[in-house]
Amino acid sequence: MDRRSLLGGGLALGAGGLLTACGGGAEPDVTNTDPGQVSGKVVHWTYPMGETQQDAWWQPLVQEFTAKYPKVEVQVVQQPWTGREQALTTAVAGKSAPDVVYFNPDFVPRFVEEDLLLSLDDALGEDRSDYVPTALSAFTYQDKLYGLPLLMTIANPAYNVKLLKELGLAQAPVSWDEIRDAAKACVARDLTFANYQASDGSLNLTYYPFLWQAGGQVLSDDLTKAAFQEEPGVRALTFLRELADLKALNNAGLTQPVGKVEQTRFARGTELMNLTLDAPMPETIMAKGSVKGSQPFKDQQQVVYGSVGGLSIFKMSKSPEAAVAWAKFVTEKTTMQKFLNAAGFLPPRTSLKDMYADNEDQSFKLQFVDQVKIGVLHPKAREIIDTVRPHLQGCLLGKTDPAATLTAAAAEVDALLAR
Amino acid sequence: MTTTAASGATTRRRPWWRSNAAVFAYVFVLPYVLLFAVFRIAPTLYGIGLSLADVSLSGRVKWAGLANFQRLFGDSLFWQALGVTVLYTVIAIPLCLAVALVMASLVNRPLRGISVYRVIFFVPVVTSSVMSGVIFKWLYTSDGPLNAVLTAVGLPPADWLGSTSLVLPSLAIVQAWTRFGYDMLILLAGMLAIPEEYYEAAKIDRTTAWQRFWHITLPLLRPALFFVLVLETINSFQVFDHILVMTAGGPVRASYSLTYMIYDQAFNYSEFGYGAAAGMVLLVLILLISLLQNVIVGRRR
Repeated sequence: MDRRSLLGGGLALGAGGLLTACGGGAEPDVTNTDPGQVSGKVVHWTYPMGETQQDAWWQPLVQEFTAKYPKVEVQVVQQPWTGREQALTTAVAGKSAPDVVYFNPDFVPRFVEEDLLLSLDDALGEDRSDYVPTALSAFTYQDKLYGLPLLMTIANPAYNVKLLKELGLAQAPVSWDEIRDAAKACVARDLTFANYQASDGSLNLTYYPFLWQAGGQVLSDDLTKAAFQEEPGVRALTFLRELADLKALNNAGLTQPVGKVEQTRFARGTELMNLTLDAPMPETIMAKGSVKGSQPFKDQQQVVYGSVGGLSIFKMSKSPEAAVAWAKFVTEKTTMQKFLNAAGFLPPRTSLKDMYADNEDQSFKLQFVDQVKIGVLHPKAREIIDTVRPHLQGCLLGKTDPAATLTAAAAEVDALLAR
Repeated sequence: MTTTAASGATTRRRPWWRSNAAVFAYVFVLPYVLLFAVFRIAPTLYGIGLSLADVSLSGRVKWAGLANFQRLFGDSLFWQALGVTVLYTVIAIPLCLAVALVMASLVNRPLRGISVYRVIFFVPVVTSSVMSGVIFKWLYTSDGPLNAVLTAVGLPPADWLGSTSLVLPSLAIVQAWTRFGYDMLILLAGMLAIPEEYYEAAKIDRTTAWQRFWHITLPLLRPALFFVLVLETINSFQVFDHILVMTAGGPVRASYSLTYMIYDQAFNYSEFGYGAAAGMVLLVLILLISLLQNVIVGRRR
């Protein structure tokens, strides 16, 4: 037994030693754009976004880039959305992380705390002035920029045009009272009002918008305590619970994880609204013109959740200058416009703000860029969502009442933040 | 005649573990021992090391002693996960054993072609658990085939995976379906080893089939039953694939098992040390229960 514990200890120490990173070297010169000097291999992880999920779409871009930077080899790898955090965590822990990765703002604080991301203020340089301030602040943590914004999304509600007419409503509901009436009308006709993804949906797309509309906020101003259990939060949850009790919210969404979008009731035309549609529904699933975007909901305030997507660069990249050159190439005006047209998202550059002048749906969304809330920028933002979500699910399924639910959830979040 | 050199035959005998036969044995056993060491022993030791440390995503390792365990035992989520795991085990094991016993008795007859059935019943064991999880998830949907059968018979449709009280039995059914073939074969082997004379003697005494089963088959199956019980306990405590594919720990954490918590902590929050600590607790728990089962069920006469 003695020898075994020695061996165990030795192995554990050895493994621990192996794990220890070599520590950071000098910061690379990210402003170096000399094609003669920039070299290496760049692995870019991208995710399914419209047409850009085809490898073939990236080929001409890669060729254009390598024509300018002949010493750089670029590999664009498609990754699925599901389990993207786990895949990234595994890759980083296994030392096979990509060089450039598509990120959303809530990833940034967590990875910066682990000292994994390259700061990109110098790389962006004067190009800064072309970007919408919200887009830049979304990727700024502790006063440094950690991502080059590539796209913006506005997750405003959408409705089924045919069903709205059938229900005899003149326009899609905006205020909470109008939502109640629309919900009752839906239930009377054996339809559901909307899908509330209670078991695995991000709270950014489910509860938070209602919380913000009621005038509340998720965390206190200094980000150390929960604030959603106060009066606006209770008001928002009570409202959602009313809808659930009316059976206006799809039961499958309340209890189980989301399936493919084609299998949702909205896609099959038996649900009036989609609470947050941030990307256009594929035309193969719902015909063009059958879905229209509607105004963000309003209670005390009219608030909509939106996100920014951008490219971040890992510090342990073996060719950081090449990675920066590729990221800047993808986010420069002409390439970005091609990307946005193919993926169907909104531009974070003010110089591109008229690119959708002839597209009704997209220019509709662009109006709300100033009313958009990006979510909570805190390293534990996702943990907060995962902690609060089961409580909200329990409330909507009728197990606990709203005030008690939120108080219990707030206690857990306070403990989480204190750690 | 060549003299077989008395190489140590009469002077000094080589210890048994260095004899030729032993060396042969080492060579045969070596590949598996290597694989076992690399894929079972080494990760276990590494896990023990992880649970005593604070490991970050970027690879920084800090000694944490028992801090992870202290935090674990004070975490209500851990106790909830443990409760879910124990409850699931209590539901799944009797179900699986009962199904396996019944199927083994059914398959234990000298009909021609019976081996075809034995093979068919083993197929679920070798089916990918992710695939069976996806198929069963479809079967369990509110407008799926299972509910269609229920409504056809006049019963109300059930919310199999969406109800907090039904989700664990539904998962247990999937586990029983997956595992019964394996247990069935083990129990079958045990049954085939029971001498026919006992049954003949019992038939002469005009006993019913149930009495024969209860008084002859079950007692003599004890060693096989013990083996199956331990296997199923280990399996139930480690249930993960089906939960990941079918319920993601829900609804309202009703199927948030201990292994799911380990996965959640390690991969969603990068808390590798904490997840490993939960893993160590699971290991000790399974060990203790197996020892307990050995004392109760595995007792020799």
